[in-house]
Amino acid sequence: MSSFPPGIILLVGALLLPGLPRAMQSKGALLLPALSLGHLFFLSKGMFIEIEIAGYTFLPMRVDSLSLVFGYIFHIAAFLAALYALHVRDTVQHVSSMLYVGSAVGAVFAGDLITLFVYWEMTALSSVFLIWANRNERAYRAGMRYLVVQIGSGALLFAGVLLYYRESGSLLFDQLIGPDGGLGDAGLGVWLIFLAFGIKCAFPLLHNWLQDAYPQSTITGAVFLSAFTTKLAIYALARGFPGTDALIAIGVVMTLFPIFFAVIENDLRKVLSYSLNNQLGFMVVGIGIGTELAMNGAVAHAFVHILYKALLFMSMGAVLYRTGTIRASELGGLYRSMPWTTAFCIVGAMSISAFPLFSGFVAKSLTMAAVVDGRYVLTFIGLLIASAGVMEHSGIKIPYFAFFGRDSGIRTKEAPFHMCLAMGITAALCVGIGCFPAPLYAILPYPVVYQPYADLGHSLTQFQLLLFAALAFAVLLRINLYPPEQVSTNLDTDWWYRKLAPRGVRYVTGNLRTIRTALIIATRSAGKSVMRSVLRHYGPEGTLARTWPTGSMVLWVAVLLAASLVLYYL
Amino acid sequence: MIFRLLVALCALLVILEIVVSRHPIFGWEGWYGFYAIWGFVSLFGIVLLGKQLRRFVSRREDYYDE
Repeated sequence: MSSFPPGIILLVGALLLPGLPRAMQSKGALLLPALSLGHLFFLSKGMFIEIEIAGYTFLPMRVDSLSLVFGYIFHIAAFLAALYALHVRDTVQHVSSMLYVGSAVGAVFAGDLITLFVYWEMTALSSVFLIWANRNERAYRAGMRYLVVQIGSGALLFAGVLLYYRESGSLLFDQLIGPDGGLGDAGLGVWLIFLAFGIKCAFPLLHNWLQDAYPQSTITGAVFLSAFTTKLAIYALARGFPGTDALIAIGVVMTLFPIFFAVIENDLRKVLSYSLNNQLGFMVVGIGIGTELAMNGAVAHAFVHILYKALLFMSMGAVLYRTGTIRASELGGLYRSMPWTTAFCIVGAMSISAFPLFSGFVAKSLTMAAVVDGRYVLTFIGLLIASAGVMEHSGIKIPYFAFFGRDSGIRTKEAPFHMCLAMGITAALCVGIGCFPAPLYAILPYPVVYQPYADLGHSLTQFQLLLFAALAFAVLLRINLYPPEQVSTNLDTDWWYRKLAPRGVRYVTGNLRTIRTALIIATRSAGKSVMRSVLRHYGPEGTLARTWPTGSMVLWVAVLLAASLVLYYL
Repeated sequence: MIFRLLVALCALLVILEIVVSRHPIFGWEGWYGFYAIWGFVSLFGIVLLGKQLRRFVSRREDYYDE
């Protein structure tokens, strides 16, 4: 069947949006994901489009079970986010968000690395406008940093793809490291691709663009951003690097370190960004293990994560929309004014914490089962700690400090109807998937035999872990050991490029004159000492310029001859 | 009130462990009340450690604005 790649409807539609009257644009943006999802239903596994340009074969579309799962959830997320953004009257945001969604969808159906690269860069270019649309200095700067990092990731990807093509002669985007190979014996091209994916996936030390940029985006922009960029990276890792051992260690570190930053962060949308980073870690561990169960776990986790993370960003966005602030130190007691938002936020919080009967549980249990199956004891311990960490920052901190806790005295209105509707549908999906995981399991890349509720003991221990964590939180509050919310900026790896590097450059430029003088003096004295040593050796008094008497040469020749004579007789 | 409810719920969960059969894979994981203690200690530790982190990374809010 002749068809066209998914994502095209969204991309073309996005460009047509400015033609609509301003009030209609948000409705148009809502229609696009629905239309595109309709198109997606006509695609089936094994379909592909092949074109040849200048002797190279490109696959702008390749449909298989992995790309389909991501295709479905990207469309659902786009629809929900567009519904949430129904009130927005800003052409830039609608166009850029639909271009962003379209390129993310296009990327997961890209069959070759060049097409992937094109979409990869398009997600970066389009999404930055969701940050800039805030139209203030901070957002502008944060957007710039975000863009540099994302474009950098794309540049690495492109360099990696070219090298990989030279090494392997293939542009096909498939498993880049063989089942029994490791990163150790992979070529430079594969390494660069891995690094490019790692940046977008917010690997430890490469992560800080996420926490830097997302809290600066618009209220609705954050909902879009939370869903696509990092999950595109998860998809890319799942496609290219399943079973790559290094990912297990990377993933565990990713689940652990953000939780400490989340504890002390005051900006609740930044807390969610750290939490997002921690969640990606679970998926990366699953991909690193690479068994069918683990891959299913990673993909299922990405699927449900997109929903509950979007839900949490929506609820915090609603708070920001109504109160004008998202600082925990200024919020509290909002459940009186915003009961619906509170309820939806709690559903999101329970889902991300993986309470049984909520969506996080049915996905995370797959990964955990795979970890146990492979007897990765340390990984298991790490993930158990991280599970308590998720409970702390997303399960308790977010709803507690926004809606309960100390009453801030803020009295406001419930979120607008369309926001509540978007949150309500997302919350229903979270509970629905948690109670009836079968439809989700059915679309995963591999057949699922695992039943999350077959072992009652598993649900019980999960309840124990989470509720005792909650108890610890309550105890900490009671004995006044819980750190009070502080208005502060917390340093992270962004310090290196936001403070140290500019300071270094400023130091150098500020001292150019001194450096110039120092350089002149240094070269002069170096020249002088060279001249002096030349004079010493070759000058009128130099050793090498001395005249030697002929007699001494004759003497030395005689000595050598005598020595050879003696040797000859021996 | 909520605190007492939470304590009661936690106690109930630990008692339930007597009747519900568990299938631990690692030996230590099967100890009675392991997950309860683990959850409590982890969160306690995370919060206290996070608090210490503040000493190193906390700056005034306009730190980066010049």
